Amino acid sequence: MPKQGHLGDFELMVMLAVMRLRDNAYGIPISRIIEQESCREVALGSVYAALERLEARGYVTSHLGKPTAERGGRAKRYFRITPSGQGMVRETQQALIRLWRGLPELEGVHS
Amino acid sequence: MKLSYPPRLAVWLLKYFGPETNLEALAGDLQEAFSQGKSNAWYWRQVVAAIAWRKHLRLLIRSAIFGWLLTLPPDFREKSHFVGRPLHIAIITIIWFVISIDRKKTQSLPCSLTGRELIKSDPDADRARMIETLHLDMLQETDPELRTAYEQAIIKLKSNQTRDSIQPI
Repeated sequence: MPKQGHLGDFELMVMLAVMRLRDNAYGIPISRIIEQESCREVALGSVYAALERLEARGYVTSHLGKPTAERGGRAKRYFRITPSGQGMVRETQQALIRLWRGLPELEGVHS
Repeated sequence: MKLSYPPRLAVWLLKYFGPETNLEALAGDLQEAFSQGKSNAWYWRQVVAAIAWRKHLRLLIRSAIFGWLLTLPPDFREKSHFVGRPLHIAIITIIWFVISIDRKKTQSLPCSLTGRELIKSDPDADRARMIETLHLDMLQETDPELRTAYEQAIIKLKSNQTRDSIQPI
């Protein structure tokens, strides 16, 4: 029986960005990494919406940092991936690799 | 560091029509990126993308139906009276829409009509409201010294909030 709840492409990007950033994963650097790698403007609101869904599913946790003047006295919300989140990224990766295999038109294409 | 100020209308729209969760973090991120040189147009695009349009449109339609029902005259079975008075419908729609948004933000449905809780007072909610008010006032302030004073007051309130939320073991 197929497992439910694989990550969508944007959610996967957000999870990978959070993993890359480690202790500095909050809205701006997350969106910057996705922008750099996908070459498109990312709405911070979409990043937070995805993070909210992921947090509800237990794949990330968050905590508030200190408020700073640069942010008008507002605190940063830092995100961290959970072990189950890491497991889900791995599962999604495996599912994508399985789908990728056996497609001659995509073999050997590196952009 | 010099703090720059994003478009006031966009800030206001974000506050009242933005997402319910992570709003503060999002607003802080937008402010930070704007201070680092992002344009007004970028800020507007981000705010427009962050607004929950479908949800608010649904709320507006519900308010309009409520306004229409409320303005129906007793003899509404007559075709000419079925529409009601457009001005009255519009006024009730706007009032109900504003109240609904206010309820959404204060999270105290039976207690709040104007943003103030009538039955019980939650210190954290009061402080959060005070911070929001100070922040809006700061954005409207033109005197740099007063702006700095507002910033310091907000930071102080925030640090109190963080300290209070830490429970002794």
